Amino acid sequence: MKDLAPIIKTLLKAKASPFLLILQIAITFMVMVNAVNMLSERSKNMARPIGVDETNSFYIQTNLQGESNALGARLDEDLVRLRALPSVQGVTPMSAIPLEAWGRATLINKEPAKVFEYGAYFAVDESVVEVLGLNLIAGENLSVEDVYTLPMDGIDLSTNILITKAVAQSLSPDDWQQAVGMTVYLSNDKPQQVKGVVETMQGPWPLWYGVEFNVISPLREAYNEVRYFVRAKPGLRDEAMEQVLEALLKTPGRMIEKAKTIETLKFEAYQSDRATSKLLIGVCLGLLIVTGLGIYGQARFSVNRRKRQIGTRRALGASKGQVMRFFMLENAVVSLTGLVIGFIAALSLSEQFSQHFGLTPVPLPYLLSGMAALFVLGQLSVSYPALQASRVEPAIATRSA
Amino acid sequence: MLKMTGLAKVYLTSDVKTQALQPFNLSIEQGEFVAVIGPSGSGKTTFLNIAGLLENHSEGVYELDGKDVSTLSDKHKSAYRNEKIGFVFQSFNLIPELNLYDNIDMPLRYRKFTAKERDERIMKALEQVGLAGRKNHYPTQLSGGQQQRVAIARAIAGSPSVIFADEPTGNLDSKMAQGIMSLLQDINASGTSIIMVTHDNEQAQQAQRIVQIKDGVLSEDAPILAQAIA
Ligand SMILES: Nc1ncnc2c1ncn2[C@@H]1O[C@H](COP(=O)(O)OP(=O)(O)O)[C@@H](O)[C@H]1O
Ligand SMILES: [Mg+2]
Repeated sequence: MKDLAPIIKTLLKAKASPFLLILQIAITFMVMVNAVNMLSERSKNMARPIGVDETNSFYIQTNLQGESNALGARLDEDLVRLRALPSVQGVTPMSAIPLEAWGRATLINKEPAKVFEYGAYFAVDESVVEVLGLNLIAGENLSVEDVYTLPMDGIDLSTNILITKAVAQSLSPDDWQQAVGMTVYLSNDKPQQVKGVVETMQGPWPLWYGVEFNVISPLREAYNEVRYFVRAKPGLRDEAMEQVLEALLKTPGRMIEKAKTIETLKFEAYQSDRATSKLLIGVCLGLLIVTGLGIYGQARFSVNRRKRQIGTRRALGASKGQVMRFFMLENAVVSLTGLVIGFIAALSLSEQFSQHFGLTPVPLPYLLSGMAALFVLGQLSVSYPALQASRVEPAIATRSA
Repeated sequence: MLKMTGLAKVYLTSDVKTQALQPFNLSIEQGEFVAVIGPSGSGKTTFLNIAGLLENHSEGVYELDGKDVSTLSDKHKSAYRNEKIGFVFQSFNLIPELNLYDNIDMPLRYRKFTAKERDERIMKALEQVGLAGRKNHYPTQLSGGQQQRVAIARAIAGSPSVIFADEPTGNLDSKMAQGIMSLLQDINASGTSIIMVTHDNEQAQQAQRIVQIKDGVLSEDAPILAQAIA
């Protein structure tokens, strides 16, 4: 530490090259902590439960044939046939599937025509809770009496509905259980009665902020395109999928648009996230390597350039250890300056990200451990050049070479 | 103070072996002013480096203040150089990024002095070389003669018992050189030994003793305290 004051004076005098290194460290830190934050946010997102039985379930998208007033009967035929299959635990028609990236967004208002919240709308039948494996945590489950059958746009009816806990908390922030029995208005301003609350059921769009805000309506939409959510008996998913497809294909003119397990659906839903994560990791590693090499190169250069000065310091009494510490300390000053600037820059970048992309701001422990990690990287990078500096012979001071 | 017995230096570089100094004996007492002369490449700097603990000798025994220096660790030698020895180099070797004050402070920072004591020593040394008014200047703002004065101030600020100077006037014109010489005389007068390499015979005459080195062979005219060993 004896050298601290002269080191700072020297750095202030030298300006350019330490400044560039400081800038590089600051930028690396800023990008790195924000990237790590994004990565952890993404992996947290991927780890969130959909709310359904992910391992035993799959869904089929297929067609119903005939005049529109006959589609209700076709739907019943399918359901009866599929529910009878030995490997199938349950089937419900759904207007959309969680994470499928296809569905209907809706307003969830406390008063007609007064925008309160956005979410997604699911039309299903009364078996939804059992079939999907949802966790009903308040109120009552839907019953057969709640169910209507319509060609489309069941939203135009007033029904009893289920909502997710996220919606309940938004409707009644003080006590979410009070949401049971409340009347809400969806996009068409028809009053809907909240009958029950389920813990989680994710919406169609995994990256949307409203992914947890969902309304489940007991409406069988008998349209010429339907989705069947099928839950197999435990461990029989692949078998059930085969049997379901076989049963459906017995109907002439049947077309299977999609047949996908929920596991695959979830995997695909986060495909681009995983790609971005890999890219982010690559960018971070690249930046760390470049910064490490930058510090190393700069230190090597400065040791070579200052050989005579180092020799003079040695001649005038600096021990090998003191010369080594001199370079370590010099680098520590540069690194810390860069990290402090980077800290401020990272905070403001994080602020921007959270404002514009809804990301959680970088938590303080990330910032601190990021600083520690980069500091250690810097000291490691400089350690070899510093060791070389300590090996400069004091005799160099008198030799003009 | 300094006693060299059968001392010799050999440089080994890959396949070339240079006998830079032939075995010699030499003692120097505290307070002496010794000039080392000889043609270029004869081994003067090598001698000075060994005497100043900047380099190790290859053969013989070197006792400094009664201690065999070959037993000293790098740390001890560094501390010895720092506290007991002052160096003055031909090309000054000031640190360009530091002002005069901080240049003189540099070796003092390795001592256990308080900030106040360091400050007093720096200012006293600067006054002694006549540059107190320029303590905030940087080396490049000074003439060569002035830079060498700063280097001398740096050498004396730690109150060493001996100053090693390798051609201290080699880069200076004769007027500046004379200024440096009288400065060294003054320092010697206050009890500090001075061992100075020079190629200038006139300057050498100002010393009490003259040691001559020719092709690595060290000799002394009179009084004969040391002899070349054939
Ligand atoms: N580090 C070294 N390695 C090899 N040879 C050296 C080294 N330093 C000096 N020499 C050689 O030792 C001899 C004496 O050099 P030096 O002491 O510098 O002479 P002077 O100072 O009298 O000009 C020269 O031949 C020189 O080439
Ligand atoms: Mg020389």
